[in-house]
Amino acid sequence: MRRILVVDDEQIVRDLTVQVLERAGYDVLSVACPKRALELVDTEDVDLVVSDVVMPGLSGVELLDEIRERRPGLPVVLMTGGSPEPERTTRALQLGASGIVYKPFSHAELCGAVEAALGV
Amino acid sequence: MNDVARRTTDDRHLETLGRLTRGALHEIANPLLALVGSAELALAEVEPGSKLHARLDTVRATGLEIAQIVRALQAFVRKRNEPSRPLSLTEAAEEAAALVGLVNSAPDIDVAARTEANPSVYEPPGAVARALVELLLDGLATAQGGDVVELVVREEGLDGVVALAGVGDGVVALAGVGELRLPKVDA
Repeated sequence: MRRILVVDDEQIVRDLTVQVLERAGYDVLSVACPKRALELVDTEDVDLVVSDVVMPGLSGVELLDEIRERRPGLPVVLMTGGSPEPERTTRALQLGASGIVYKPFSHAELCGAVEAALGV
Repeated sequence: MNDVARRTTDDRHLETLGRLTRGALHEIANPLLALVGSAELALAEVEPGSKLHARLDTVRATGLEIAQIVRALQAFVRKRNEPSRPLSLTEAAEEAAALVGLVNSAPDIDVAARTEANPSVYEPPGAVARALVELLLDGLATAQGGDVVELVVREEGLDGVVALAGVGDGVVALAGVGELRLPKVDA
């Protein structure tokens, strides 16, 4: 079973994302803090990271940058509210984000982005 | 206050409104995601055909309608700093008509795009989108119930043209009044 790490400081979004991905058949870990996510990337067997973009401390794009240094092949899908940060989205694509989903997304859109990133 | 000062104040007010709207769109996205996503999860746990299922479906469908507006506005905002690139004027006109159609508060006035040709131009997407939306909003301001306000895409010599037009009593005067004219490039 593929294992996905969900990173979002908003609990309601995090919980929802976890439920959708679990229902789709994935094993899901979740954290609110992006720095904690980096620890898990180092220590856990994770196949994909799904992360919010706007988070305190470390943005999703900065998290992606760190992950690229630690585990270059690990796919990362970013979830964004979109409008205030088009530059961040552009930067994320330059850094090799595997996918970007714009909130509010449907379950099918999230699962589609995850499947595409995993090559399922 | 003279006209110039009033225009400057209006411009600043609109700029501030734009910044507030960008923030609001972002802040709406998470609760809307929670609303629609939770309804979608709950629907799978409730007996189809029950009253609760129908109510949850209403919540989900209504949330999706709002989400459609939010996403269309987000897409419009995302274009604002994009550099010039080849653009299909037909696609730009269709996107503008879809956006204005979503936020059109007069349900008896239709908004549409019609294509007589499909010229490509090399322009900043945000500036083109803004110009087309403004054309349509100008059209809506003149239109009456039952009218159709539309953007017509065509080619004239070396130019791609998107002209404001319409069908109905209120929009007859629109023909030839407003248009966006840009030099064509090879697609």
